[in-house]
Parts: sequence; structure tokens; C-alpha cells
Amino acid sequence: MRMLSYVFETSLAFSEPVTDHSFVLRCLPKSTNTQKVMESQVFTRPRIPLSEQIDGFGNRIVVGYCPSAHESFDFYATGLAMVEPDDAGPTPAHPMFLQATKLTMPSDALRALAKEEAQAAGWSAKGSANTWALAQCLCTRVFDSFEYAPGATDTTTTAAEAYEAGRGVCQDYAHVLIALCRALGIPARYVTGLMVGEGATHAWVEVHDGERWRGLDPTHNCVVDDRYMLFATGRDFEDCPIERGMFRGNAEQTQKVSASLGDDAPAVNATTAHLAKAVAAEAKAK
Amino acid sequence: MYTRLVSHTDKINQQLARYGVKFGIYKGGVFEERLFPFDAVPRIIEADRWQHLERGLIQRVDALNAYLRDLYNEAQITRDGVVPEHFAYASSGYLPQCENTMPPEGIYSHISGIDLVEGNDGEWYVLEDNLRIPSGASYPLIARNLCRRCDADTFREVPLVDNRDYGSRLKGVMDNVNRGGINVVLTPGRYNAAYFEHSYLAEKMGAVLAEPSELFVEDEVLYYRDSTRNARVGAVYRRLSDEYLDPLCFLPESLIGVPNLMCAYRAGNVAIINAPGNGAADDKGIYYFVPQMVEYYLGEKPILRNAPTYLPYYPDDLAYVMENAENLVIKDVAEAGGYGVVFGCELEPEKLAELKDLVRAEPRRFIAQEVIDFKCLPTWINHEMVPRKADLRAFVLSGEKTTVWPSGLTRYARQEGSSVVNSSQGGGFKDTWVLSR
Repeated sequence: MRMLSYVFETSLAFSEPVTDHSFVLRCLPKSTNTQKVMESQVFTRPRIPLSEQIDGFGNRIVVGYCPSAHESFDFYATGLAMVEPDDAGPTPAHPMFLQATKLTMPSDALRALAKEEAQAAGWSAKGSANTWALAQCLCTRVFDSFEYAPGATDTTTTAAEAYEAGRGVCQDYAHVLIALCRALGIPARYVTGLMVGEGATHAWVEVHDGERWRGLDPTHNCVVDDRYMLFATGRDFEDCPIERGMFRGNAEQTQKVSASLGDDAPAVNATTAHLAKAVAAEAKAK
Repeated sequence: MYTRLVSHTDKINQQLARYGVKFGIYKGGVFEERLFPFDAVPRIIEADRWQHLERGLIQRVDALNAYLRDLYNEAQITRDGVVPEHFAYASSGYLPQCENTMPPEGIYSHISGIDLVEGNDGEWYVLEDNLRIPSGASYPLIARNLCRRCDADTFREVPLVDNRDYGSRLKGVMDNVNRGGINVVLTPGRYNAAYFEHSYLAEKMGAVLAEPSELFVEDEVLYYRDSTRNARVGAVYRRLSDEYLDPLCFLPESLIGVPNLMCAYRAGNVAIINAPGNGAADDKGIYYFVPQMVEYYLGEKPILRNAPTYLPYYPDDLAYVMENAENLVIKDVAEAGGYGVVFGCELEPEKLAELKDLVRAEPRRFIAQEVIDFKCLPTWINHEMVPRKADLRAFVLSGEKTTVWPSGLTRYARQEGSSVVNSSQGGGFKDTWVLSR
């Protein structure tokens, strides 16, 4: 059991003023079998009313609409959660996590690799006793076949393309591992969240071992432990983007993201208080 | 009883052209608008046959609505193995974004277009269920109106059930689920092939016709941007397909759509007609299971028949399809509008072998059906009465109760002997007369 706290910040800057800006955020921790949310908050600048909902995948989303002209838009989220990765109780896998998506469609090369690993592990779809061991082998294969290369891929790169190139970022590692698992009929899902020591958001994978969901991080080739805080899960990246927006205006958008996750709850509280004050002061000034 | 009417055929077609009664098709990748030829010889359905059909259609649509309610919530039917789990979720119309969201009153398919044919054995056979945006009700509606003007006497003499209340029936369907606010018909815009129908129906039901840019969502509520003030929207009859409905929930690259419409829907502040995600039930593969759904959800024997259908997904059916491909119609489940429909008997042997290989490789993608020998209707073409195969799209409306509009769109094939009646394949349409006695 570990208490983790986080601060997440995204700043959007527009080259021209934009209006009618609608957005969806997935930057609040989700309560799961392995994670209990103690506290979470989100603010924006300019300050506008926000609504919180649960989407079709069970993720917490924050939605808002800023009709007036603005040249920048900032999101801040903070929170505290108790994580206990070993305590996952049994949960069934929804059948949607068996279906290939556009981003996770296996190529012949990926199918062949999945089959090869399954044979090597003596795994068969019927007796799924060693599914977890196989998933870990697949995770290692993904890690070994990739070179971490920011900028080599973008958000539309498919698992097949990334594997072919052998280069990519956490999103690509995750998509390839998901494609391999689903090619064998093992349910797998995409996870976004934060990891201790990473300055930005992170993505990893959950594999269903026949009884419960268990996390694997192919970018670091490890089992997900108490250094991870989970925001959202889905079939692939498209289902759980941290921020997605749409606005009117012929503007270029630049984005700056920063995140930190750690044990230091007081620091988070101080940041939160500071932010809240700043936002309130700004609102008053207007 | 329609002899006089037939003499007005050309005049009615000219007026339809003037009103802009058209449909759009893609030919060789190019979008074209075409006139939809009208034949003044109606399909006539006697009162007792209509009652039977009506009961069957209500039963079928009630079962389909129950299926959608179940699939997106408890999914008991797949747990019970009535519809195989893998089969249900492999449907391209299944949208996981719609999981755990109950539409107002639990109605998913408010306006269902059920395509049927009348067999030479006298039975009605359902060929397809259209639960997304079934179009075409405006064609018989406006044609009936023009016919009535040309030849009022015929409509005084024939004991015909009036069909002019379609607009008020639609309004009833929308009011039943309206969550407070105005009713809106959402159209992609005036360049859409069905824009005529969108504006016509909006007028008939007294709803506001809006384009996506005239709507926005704030605080989980959908608003219509009026010139003076913003009006809250309680129900939206959208003529925009699911994937373009909300770019923040579905296709992010979509430039049309209303951002966060799905959030207003999820919060229960607006009804979407028809509900997003309905494609999971009108998949040509899921069609196979509809008679089982009737028994499973309603505990009744299905009144209407499916065309005998084989699912290559099941090994026994695959073997049958491989043996008998030349006698079957093979359909690609992902295609619509008469595309991806192949008659085995019309293929060269090597093409048939190629198709069989494809079915073997991707069994979930295809269904195969026995060719139904369906009835021809007399049709007035080039100044003579000739037989043409015809189908019927019946419009089933699910409001407080499920009802069937006593009319429908009858489409006929252009060529003699052909059984492809889709307007995109060059056919025409007829009025459908339901007799009151």
C-alpha cells in the first residue's frame, strides 16, 4: 500500500484568439481494485464551469466549454490515491478488449511473433493457466524489439507500423503489446496515467490473466507496481486521450504538458492551494 | 382502381423533380444526385394482411430494442449464449463509447426501417433491419400528396388508410423522450443528398432544422443558437451518422458534429433519435439472430420470417455455403445500400472460387441467403404495364407505444427479373396503399 500524490498541468497556446472551445479531460485518477482515490481536483484558466462524468469505459472525464475568445487555456489537476497493485480482486474482462482496433490491428509479422512466443511458453488458448507468464514474455519481446525514440511516431501510428519501424514511445509499445495479446485471444487494454519519475503522462497495458486485470509496462519492461497511478483505460489510445478539444478559429495550437507523481502529499497540497488562490484572484480581477 | 392515376405519371414525376426529390449516389468514387423515378401504380396491401404485418413488425422492433438495451448494459443474451459473444462485439456498428448509458425511456431505435419482400408463397420475409438513420419516408409522403392533387376522385373512392399523419407521429415519438426543450432535426447541411427529406420532415413535425454549427453543449446541456437567444434542446432527430456525431467522443478528425453532444446525452439532458450505437443490432450478421431475440426477450414465436440465412461463422453453415454458393446470395455484412451483395449464380467460376476463399478466410464478414422468389408488382414503364420485383420499407415508430406507419416505401427493380431494388442501383419507387377494409 502506498499513498501517491500528483500534479498535472497542460498549457495550450493559440497563435490567434479562438472561441467556442469544447474539451474533454481524462486527468483524474479512477477508482479501481488496485487504486483508491482519496482526493482529486481540477481547475482551468480562464476559469469556467466544469462537469464531471463517467464515460462508456468507466473513466472519469471532465468536460467544459469556453465560448469567449482566448489565446491560452490551462488545465491543472491534483490528487491523492492509495495504490495497492497486488490487491486486484477477480473481475471479468469485457469482450470489447478482445477486438482489434485500427491502432491495434495485428500485421502478419505480429501474428507470427505472438504465435512463436505462445509456442515457446507452451501456452494454449484452452488451458490459460500460464497466461500471465506468457504476457510477461510478450512484454519483454516488445521491449527488446523497440528503441525508445520520441518523435519517430505520432498519435495515429498503428501497432503494425511502429513494430515495423522498431522505434516509438510508450503509446507504441503499449499498442504492440495489446495487438500481440489480442491476436492470441487474450483480453488486453490500454492504460493512461502517471509514473513516479516521469515528467509527463505515461501509457501502459493491462492484460486479463483469466481472472483479473494485471498491469504490464512494456516501455520499462516491468510489472506495474506502486509507482503507477491510473487515469483511464480503453481499447487503445483513441479511447483515453488525456486532453481532447475543438475550437473555432484559424489558429495553430502548441501544447506544454508537465506532470509529477510522488509521495510528497504536502507539496501537492501547497501547489493546489497556490493554484486555487491564483485562479480565484484572477476570477475576482475580471 | 388506379388507372386514372397512371395517366398522370409524367406530370407527377415532373413535380417531384421540381420539389428536388432526389437521392445521392457514389458512382466510380464520384458523388451524383439523381432523380428517384416514381411509378404511379401503387403497392396495395389489404386490411387483414396489413394487420398481420403490423403485428409482426411491432414484435420484431420491440425485440431489437430489447437487444440493444441488453447489449449495452447487462449483456445477458451473450452470457446466455443466444448470440455468441464474439459475434456480437465484432460488429462494426457496436460502439463501446455507448456502454452503460441508458437512453431516455430505454428506447434505442425510435424510427426503424424494416425491409421486406412478399414471397410467391404469400409470406412476408424480412431482408434487413435499418435502425440507424433509415431514410425514405418522405418519398411516399410527398408522392401521395401529388397523386391526390392530380386525381382527388381516386382517393375518395378507394378505402385507403390515411398516411398524412407521419409528421405528427414523428413529433409524438420525439415528445415522448424529450428531456425539456425544443425538438431539432440535425442535418449535415444543404449539400447532403437527403437534405430535401430533412427539411421536409422538420416542417411536417414542427421541429427546428439545424446544422451542427448551430448547436453547442454547455454544462451538459445542448443548445440551439438562435439569432436572439439560445434555446435548450430536449430531443434531436439527427440525420448524421454515429461516427460524425461528436468529434470529442467518436472520430476526432471529423470536422462536422457537435462537440460533447454525447456528454449531454449521457447526463440524460437530451434524447438522440435514433440512439448512437444501434448499428450493433442492424448488422447483417446479427440479423440471423433476430428470430431468437423475439423468443428470448418476448417469449413469443416470431410472426415474420427471416430469409433462410447461413452464417459461415458456424462450421456447418460454412460447409453448406461452400457446397451451394452458386445458389445463394452472399452479402458482406459491412456494406449497405445494395453494395457487397453478390448472387452466386451470376459469378464466373473463378470469381466464385475467389469469393469462397474470401468467405473461408473471413467468415464473420459474410452471410449467405437462399434466393427468395419474391413477387413482382405491375409497373408502368414506357407506356406498358410490366412486372417488376419490389420490396417494401416499413417504418416502425417507437414512442409511448410501438406503431407502424400505415404506408411505406415500395422500391422496384429497374430491370425485368432483377431483384436488386436499391435506389442506388437505379430502381424507382411506388406509393404503398394500406386498405381500410
